[in-house]
Amino acid sequence: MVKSSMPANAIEVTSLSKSFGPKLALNSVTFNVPKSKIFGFLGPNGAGKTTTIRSLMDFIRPTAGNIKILGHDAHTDSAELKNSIGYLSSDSQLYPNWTADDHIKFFENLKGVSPIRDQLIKRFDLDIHTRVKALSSGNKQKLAIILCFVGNPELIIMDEPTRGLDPLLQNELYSLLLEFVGQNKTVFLSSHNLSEVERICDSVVLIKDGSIVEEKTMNDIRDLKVHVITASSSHKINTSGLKHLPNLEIVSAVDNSISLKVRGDLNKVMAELVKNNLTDLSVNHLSLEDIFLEQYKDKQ
Amino acid sequence: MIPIIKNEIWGRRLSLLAYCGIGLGLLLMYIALFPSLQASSAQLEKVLQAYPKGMFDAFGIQDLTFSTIDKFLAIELFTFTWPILAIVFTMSRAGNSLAGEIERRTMGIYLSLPISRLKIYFSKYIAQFISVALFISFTILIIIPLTWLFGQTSSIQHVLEVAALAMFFMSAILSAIFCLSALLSDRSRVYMIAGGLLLVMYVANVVAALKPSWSWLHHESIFYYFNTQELLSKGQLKPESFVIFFVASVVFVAIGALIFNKRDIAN
Repeated sequence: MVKSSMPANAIEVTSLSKSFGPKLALNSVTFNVPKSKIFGFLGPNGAGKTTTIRSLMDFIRPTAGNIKILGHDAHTDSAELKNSIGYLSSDSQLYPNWTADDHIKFFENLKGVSPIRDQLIKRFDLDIHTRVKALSSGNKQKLAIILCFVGNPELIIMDEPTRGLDPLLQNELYSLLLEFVGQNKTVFLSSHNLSEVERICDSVVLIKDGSIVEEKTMNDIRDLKVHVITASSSHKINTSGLKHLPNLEIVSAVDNSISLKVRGDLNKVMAELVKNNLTDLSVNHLSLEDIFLEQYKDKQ
Repeated sequence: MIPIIKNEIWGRRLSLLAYCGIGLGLLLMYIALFPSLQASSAQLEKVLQAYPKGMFDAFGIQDLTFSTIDKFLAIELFTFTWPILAIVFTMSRAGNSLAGEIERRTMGIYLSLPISRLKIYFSKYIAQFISVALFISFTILIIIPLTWLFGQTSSIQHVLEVAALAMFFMSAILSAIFCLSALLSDRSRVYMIAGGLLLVMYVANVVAALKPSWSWLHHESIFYYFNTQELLSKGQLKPESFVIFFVASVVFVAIGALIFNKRDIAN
């Protein structure tokens, strides 16, 4: 186990660049992950989240830059550091012919036994005696989460951890991560799901096209959120009250239907809409890709 | 390292058993056939002498007699069948061990654990080396008890020497393919390149045997140094074969370790 000299940050990434041939995947990425927090790493697909995480885990070697984890160099102290890191990949596979128990024992042989092993198995309701090839994708993800906590990690690095999990299990994972951070430990979590990040993260960094776009507070993240509202009424919807509202864009108003994009707080818009005799209403989130496209199109 | 070695061998035990079973089956077939072939060896030798000399040169057959089981096995088993089986076995083990794990995205399991890349590499190499040793035990060393069971006599010393030479030969091939497996991220490319190179070396050895003016090509082929004919028929052992196989093993294993330690593993 790495003996940390108590640095203020669990992860310090400085000017990290990575090229794959002529393609620049990461361009001078710099950010710090404070200790005892859940840190969100947010970006659309292909932004460079996984490349950054693989660099943190020393799977790939940076073209330039520096990574320190728990005060140690992520490359030279890689093997030793992994005693203190639990890792969940977005796409790695498990051994199909091993059972969940085989996987856990293999990890325990190399990392030590988890004090919460049995508790986690019970909590996620995982059958550990079935071969992985017979498990559903959700159950495989449960096993991958349990493997993250084998040993006694100080830091959990997760790449899109809720992929394949149903909402109930997502909630279970969120509370597990909050408990983990409550023990003065750190979580680094990548996601392209704004709601997920808003719900559990303490701070967030946004990455797009291999570069850090901005570091955001959680209030900033809430403001980033864009809702797409579609409403229908038995008569033509009155838009006069809506037109004066800030952060609102009327996308279309045809016959008795209206489509709106709302950034941030929804309440005032909803109050105006319900003045009409609504027959149908749907509220959806704009995808992170679309938000980025809108937010940063002027900066490109 | 022990958990990785254990898992590597246990996880691929079925393919190990299958290859050992095939090798053992072939051996049993040849040993069981030998008494009847020996009884009619005079007629067979007359028939075989009618074949062009070049054919025997191409396969490195020097002493075309079935007077002893050792000579018979040297001609029938070790000139072609056993090397093919051994090469396919070694390619499959080495290709799966690194490139296969990267291709199937299971290498991430090892890389996320507190073990250095060099330890991962050498644990897997040692596991495959042990598998090769088991393969040789079940396909060569077992000749001694099998011939005894079938009432034949084989030279224990010659069999042991063939087993040692085979171990060095297979180690050199294992190391070279392991090196390719450390470099590439999918098994098919490992098999294609390794298979291509071995085929070129085999053809080079055949051409060198057929054309005296091209005899220098012998030295470009690993097969020239794996001469079980001389060993089993004449009891002649070429010490340089062991040296060449050993040096090749060390060089390829070291290059492979450097590559694996430095490369990006994106899967």
